[in-house]
Amino acid sequence: MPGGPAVMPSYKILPLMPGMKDREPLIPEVNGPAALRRLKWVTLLAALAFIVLLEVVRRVLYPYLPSLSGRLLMSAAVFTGCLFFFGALFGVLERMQSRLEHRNRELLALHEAALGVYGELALESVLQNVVDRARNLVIARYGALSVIDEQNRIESFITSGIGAEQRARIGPPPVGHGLLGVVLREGQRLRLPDIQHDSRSSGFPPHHPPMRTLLAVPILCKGPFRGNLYLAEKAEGAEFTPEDEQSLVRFATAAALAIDNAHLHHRLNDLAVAEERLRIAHEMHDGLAQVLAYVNTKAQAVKEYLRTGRSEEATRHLDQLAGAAREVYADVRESIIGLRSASLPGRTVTEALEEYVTTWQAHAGVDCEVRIEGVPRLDSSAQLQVLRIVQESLANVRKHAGASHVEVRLQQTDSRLRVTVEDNGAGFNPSTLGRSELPRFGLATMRERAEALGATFHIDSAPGSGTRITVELPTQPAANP
Amino acid sequence: MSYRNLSNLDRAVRIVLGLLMLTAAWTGLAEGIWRSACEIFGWVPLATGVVGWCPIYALLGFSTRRPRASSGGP
Repeated sequence: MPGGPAVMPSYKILPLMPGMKDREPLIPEVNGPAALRRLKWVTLLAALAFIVLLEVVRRVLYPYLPSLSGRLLMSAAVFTGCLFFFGALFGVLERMQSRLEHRNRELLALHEAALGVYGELALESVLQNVVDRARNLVIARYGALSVIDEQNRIESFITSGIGAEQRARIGPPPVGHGLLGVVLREGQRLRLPDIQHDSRSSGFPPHHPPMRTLLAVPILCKGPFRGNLYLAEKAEGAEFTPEDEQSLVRFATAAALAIDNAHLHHRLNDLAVAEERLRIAHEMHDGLAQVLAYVNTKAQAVKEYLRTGRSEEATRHLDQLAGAAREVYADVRESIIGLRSASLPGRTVTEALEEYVTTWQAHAGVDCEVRIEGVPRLDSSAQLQVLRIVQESLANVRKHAGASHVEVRLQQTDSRLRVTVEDNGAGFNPSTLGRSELPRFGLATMRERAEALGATFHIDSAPGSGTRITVELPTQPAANP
Repeated sequence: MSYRNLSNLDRAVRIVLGLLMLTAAWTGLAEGIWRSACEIFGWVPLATGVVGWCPIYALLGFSTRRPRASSGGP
């Protein structure tokens, strides 16, 4: 670099969660080389101690060594020493392996939690996933997650390890008295060997499963969510360890990200609905409002012609008025069918499209064929936009093309979806597209919708050879088999 | 996590056995080669009993220590 030595940029890694800087790292540190170095020293010292011990034994047995019994005793002493030495060595190795296995399980659970960010977007499913995975992480028999409202009360209580029938027998969910309230009010972790022997415990309701050990941590989210994670009854009657607590704290941090993501997705859906409303209002303003203005102008003209006794011109204008009214009626009806077919949740784009086309054919009197190649992989927002583009294209076919047949084709490739609407109508020259007597805003809206999806939008048409509208958009990658 | 593999009874038996062997060696109850044997091997049950961990059990993956049972009541 001219003018002096290169200056390396410095980066500051910001904590993901408030207060996270002072907490444990998200990924636990495994100091393998240090542990191995320690093991080498231990082995060396143990070998030296073994040699010293053998020398002591040899001295004690010295008078008897020439005899068989003396030699047997010496061999037994060597064998015992070996057993101790290798037993201790394997014990250390086993402990290291167990620690690594625990960390591996923890990392896997953290990885799964991170995958949950992408896999689950509905908040209820995310919360259930969090409590199920936390239970597997520390191998606890029961798990629960309390969602806290603004008044610091338990709003909902999601459980894991308890059947619906048993939960119904226990009665209403807890309100936050006793030990649950400690984490609730103080936002602190809790690790107890015996719930019953804690002075803050307020006991269990009838039919509640027996619980002795408890581990509880708060989930600290950036978003509006507030909640705590509770685990009870460690496997094999053991107590929860400090390592379990650390694992759960790290897991709670990853879970907080998943929960925040679900909240953001929910907000995004709300924004998409608001955006769609805005677009409909825009279409009504540009379409319906302008037609009504046209009707008003024509009505005034008719009034003027009638006043001056020019009934022929008045009749001609009245015919144009009736035509405009018919057109706007058809438009409004088409929009209502479109809105209705797209508004049912849980339906795929194929189902919604087929239902719309069936109704549209009867209404427009044009033969329409739907061809689907592959399974379209679209999220709900993109589905709606694709459906609207097809509806707008079909509306144009009815209004302007004078076609007898139209084909709607959806082709899903590895990472893209191609949507084509092709008719055999009059066609037009796209480069000389001007405003007709009635405003034609459909193409501009379609282009806007396509751009919002990150898609390409093409019109291929020529007078007398029909029109083909192609939208090609990126889609979610195919799931691995 | 605890790495002990001996139950309390196992430990008690080992400690008593170890003490008996060492006592026999030091008080002259055992004589000759038996005295030396008790002096050397008396430490083995005593040490394993006190620590609560037996290397032979560890190598064989065996344990007389039972996991603590749940209290079973609310």
